[in-house]
Amino acid sequence: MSDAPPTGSPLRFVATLLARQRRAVAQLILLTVGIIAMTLVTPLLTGWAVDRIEAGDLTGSDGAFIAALAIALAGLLTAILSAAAGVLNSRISTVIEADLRSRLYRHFQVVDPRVLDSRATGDLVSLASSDLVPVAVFFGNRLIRGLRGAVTMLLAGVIMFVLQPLLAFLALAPLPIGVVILATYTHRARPKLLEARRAMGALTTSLQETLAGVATVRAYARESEQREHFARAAKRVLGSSLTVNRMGARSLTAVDMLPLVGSALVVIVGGRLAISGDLSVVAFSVFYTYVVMLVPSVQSVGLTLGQAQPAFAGLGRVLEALRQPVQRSPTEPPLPVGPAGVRMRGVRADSPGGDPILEGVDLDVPAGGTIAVLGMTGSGKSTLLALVNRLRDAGGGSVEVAGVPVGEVEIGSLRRAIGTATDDNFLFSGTVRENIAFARPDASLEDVEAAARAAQAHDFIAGLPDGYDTVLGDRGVGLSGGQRQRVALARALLAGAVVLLLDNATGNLDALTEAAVLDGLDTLHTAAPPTRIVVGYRPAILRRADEVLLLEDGRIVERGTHSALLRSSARYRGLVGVDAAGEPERTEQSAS
Amino acid sequence: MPQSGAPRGGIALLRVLLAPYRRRVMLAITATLLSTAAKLIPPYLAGRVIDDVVNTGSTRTLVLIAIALGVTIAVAWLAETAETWLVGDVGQRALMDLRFRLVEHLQTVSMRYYDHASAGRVMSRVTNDVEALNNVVNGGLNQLVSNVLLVVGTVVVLLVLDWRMALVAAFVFPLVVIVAALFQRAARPAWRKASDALAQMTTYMAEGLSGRAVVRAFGQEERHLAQFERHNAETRMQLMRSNSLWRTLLPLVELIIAVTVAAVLVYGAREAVGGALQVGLIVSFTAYLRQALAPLPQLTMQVGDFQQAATALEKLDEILAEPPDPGQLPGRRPAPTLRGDLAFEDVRFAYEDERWIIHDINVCIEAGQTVAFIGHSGSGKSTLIKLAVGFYGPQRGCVRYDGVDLAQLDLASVRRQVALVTQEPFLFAGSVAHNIAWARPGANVEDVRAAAEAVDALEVFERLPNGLDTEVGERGERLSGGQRQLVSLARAIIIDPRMLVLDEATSSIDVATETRVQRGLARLLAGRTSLVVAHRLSTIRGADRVVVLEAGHVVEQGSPAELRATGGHFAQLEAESERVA
Repeated sequence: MSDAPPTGSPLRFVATLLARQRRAVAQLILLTVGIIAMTLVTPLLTGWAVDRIEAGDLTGSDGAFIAALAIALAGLLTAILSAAAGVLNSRISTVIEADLRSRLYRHFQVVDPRVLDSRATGDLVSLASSDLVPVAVFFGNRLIRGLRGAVTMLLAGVIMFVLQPLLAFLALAPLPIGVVILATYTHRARPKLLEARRAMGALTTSLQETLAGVATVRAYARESEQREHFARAAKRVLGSSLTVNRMGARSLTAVDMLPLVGSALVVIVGGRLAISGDLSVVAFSVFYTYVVMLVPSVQSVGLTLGQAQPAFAGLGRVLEALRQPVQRSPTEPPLPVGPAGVRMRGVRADSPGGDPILEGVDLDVPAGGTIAVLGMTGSGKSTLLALVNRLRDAGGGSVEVAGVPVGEVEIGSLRRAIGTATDDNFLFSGTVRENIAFARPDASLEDVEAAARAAQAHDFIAGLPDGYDTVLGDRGVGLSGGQRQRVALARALLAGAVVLLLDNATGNLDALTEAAVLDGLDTLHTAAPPTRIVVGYRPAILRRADEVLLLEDGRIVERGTHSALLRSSARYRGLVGVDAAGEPERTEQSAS
Repeated sequence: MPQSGAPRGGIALLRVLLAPYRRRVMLAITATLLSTAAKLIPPYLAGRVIDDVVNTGSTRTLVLIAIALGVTIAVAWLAETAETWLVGDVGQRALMDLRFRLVEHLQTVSMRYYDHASAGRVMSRVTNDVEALNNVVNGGLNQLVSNVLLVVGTVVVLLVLDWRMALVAAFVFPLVVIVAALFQRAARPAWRKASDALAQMTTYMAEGLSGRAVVRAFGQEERHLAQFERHNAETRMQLMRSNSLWRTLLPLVELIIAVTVAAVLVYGAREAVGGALQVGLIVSFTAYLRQALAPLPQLTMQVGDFQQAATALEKLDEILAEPPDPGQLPGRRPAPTLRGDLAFEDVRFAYEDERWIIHDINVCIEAGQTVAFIGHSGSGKSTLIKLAVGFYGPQRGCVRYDGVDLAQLDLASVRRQVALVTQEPFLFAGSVAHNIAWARPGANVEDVRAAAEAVDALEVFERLPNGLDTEVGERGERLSGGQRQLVSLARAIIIDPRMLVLDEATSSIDVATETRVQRGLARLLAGRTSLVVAHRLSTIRGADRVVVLEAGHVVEQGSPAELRATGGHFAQLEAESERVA
């Protein structure tokens, strides 16, 4: 389907979704017409049967038996039509759901990364999963059923008016009242429902924290406080859902009663009219059957009205997400093949609030060179790295890889040329091998092993139950932080032939392992070593860099080689925690 | 079926949950009976109008019928309002009670349970299963009950009105049941497949969104999307298949209604012409059948929901049947103020039987001492920590606090005096101050500031956007690793612990923060008995004693100076570390 951002009103968007299933929708409309016809004709057939019974005509060519046969046939036809309509209905809504999900998820892949970062992951997941269901069900299924109910009511009303206007008026008068009550209820209950849902969200969070933080809760014997916290959230949920329940009991029951009132009026007034001879027994039976048969239609219309608002609200959220700006990328040309340097000039990056994260950053890493970046938490190091593979886009200045501005090459080719490892160490569920080969799924086992060896991960992987085929994740083996980090490093090493970005990617390793990893980096790519930008604090990293940049509040405040900076900069020595000779400063604790 | 300690079953759990609301449940049942009875009256009266009013012209009868109808509607209205309200009310309350029970219970089950089940899975189980119950409570519990009653009532009324015609109509009910059963049989595997596909897709999507930076950083969006589209298409297909199944079966019910009405008409017509039956009765009969049968397709649909709810109840009951950790329950001796001796005596531990992770460990920590445990990953250090704070109980030997076996003591009373600080501290959503005060109920702002100051972290916290009131986000994700560690140190010191169990963080953070963390730690350790799983040479060197673990055995034990002199593992490690530093 076209991934152009949706423009125009929500209804137009729905129309485009439905237009994709034009045939199914057309068939459904035909079937619905048939069902309406059958629903309308059945009471008339009943009237016919009653008429023939009264006349004592059973076996005539239009006798009661034939009428009964007609009723059975109408039933058969209704059954076939509704079966087909039901299948179509569910198909349409299922396809709409899948389409919407696909559009959303595709959009998530290309949207400006900051858009996603500003929302909780759970939010995004529910937007593309459970939140879609009511939208799809409403527009693919509920809406046409509601319309069917409304048309059935309208046409039945017309027929009843022809038969007996006064009685028709009395029988149908309560129905609009029902619609009004439902609409009011929906309007009033919505804020309460939203409140209940929000409270429910808080309750779920509380529950999840209690479980995810179970070790902490127990270690501090804070079970009773956790319980109280939960109880407070629970009380709010209970309060608002009980209110909704009370409102529903009052309004929805009233709506249920209205057809009953209508049929009572028919019975009483119809009886009166029949006595005076203004209504035949046949017409009376027809009327009564209509009133009984219209109950599902009334309910259907009510249900549709009740679900309309949340469905539109859900659609609104989907549309809003789809309208978030995508990250621009040309489709051509790809990044030039071969070794590539990285160059930045006057680069600026802003936080969503508009505060500068980076300002006036210049750097040059020749192809195959290594630059180390150092700075305190929040000084902008991670943002600096993210500019290279466009996980962030600069707010000003130029970022070039291989001499080309990163915004002017196809974004996928840029990213596939760059290997990245951060201290986040996110691994996917799947085997160790699949994780390491994430960027190159067709990599041979030898390549995977070589990368793992360089990342000092081979030994522990070989010791896992199934070696490289060991499944990681919820149902699989859990790895320690350091092990995860080494797998993530191997993944980056296997991917990054041209540029390697390491954002504190060895910080979870002890100093010995870190040194081994850094040595491994040098041996893996001896032919054409990748251009490296490395964030880290330990001298082992800094010493290996051609140049070290010291970032402070988004600006480069010092630059030079490790040894030069050690000599010249007190600020640098303070951050690295060594004295001018490179000996560790004994500023730290001497444990008790 | 139930053995001792085994799950009691969903029904038993339901009974327990409803017990406090017995009166309301009885009222709800009464209301349901009343409203059902009320629904059974109008079709009969409609028939009487035809037979007794229209055919005889008796206005008096009509007035009586009008009054009867009025009363019926009033009763039905009241009863149904009460029914809807009571069922929702009791349902919501009982559900909340169930959530409470679960939370209570999950606080007491052994920590081993979380190893088996993983917090994530327990979480999704509890949320999804309770949600399944919620769906039933909110969507149609009362309809199910009242419709079943309506069917029963209708059968009775029909039998009373004309038993022969009722028999003609009667075959319809078993037929509907058979259709429903068929549907169930056919639909269950299809539905299961569909919900599995749905779950797989959602998991895939959730993982992709959590790891979106990785997907993008490696330029793997297309491959990731292709896999997603396969999941999406599979889900769509399975959903369609399962939906088509019941969408085809359900109209059968409508067909059955039509055929029955026709049969009643044929039978009734013959009898009526013979004068044995009145037309009004036939009209009543068909109205009864429509009224009782029309909701059935809807109900058949709901059967799926009910089945899910029943399964959910069983599964939740299984969680509730999980044996609690005795140390988490009241009844054990509370620990007095600890002096601070901690000893492992012949401790042996295995996660699975006989596969020992910890072998006969004997380590004695005297009050005020710092003992550093070192060893490769997998040597049993983390398990030792869990044994020390009583997350696990050893299979052999014991952990003694001041000479008393931990298995004899109320765990909470011990833990209130022992601070556990882990490598990756868990923070709760809320402010920095909230997280620090969290450890000590009743702590005020001053206490929090003092604690932050005591670990030399106040300055760091005050530099955050909102100072101590800065929100840390889910699991503290908005703070850096170093900041999270500082919060956890302040949280530890605010309880003024007698002892400290510490898994030293390995992650390298900026040196300024690192220095603060080290200083904070030093203050926390000072004068307190400390068991430290150490990674930093400086911590190890500063310890009173070092214990070297290998594959669950103690291979070396002594002061740093002693171990250096013997030239074993410790000496080797120290030498290597000096080389790279």
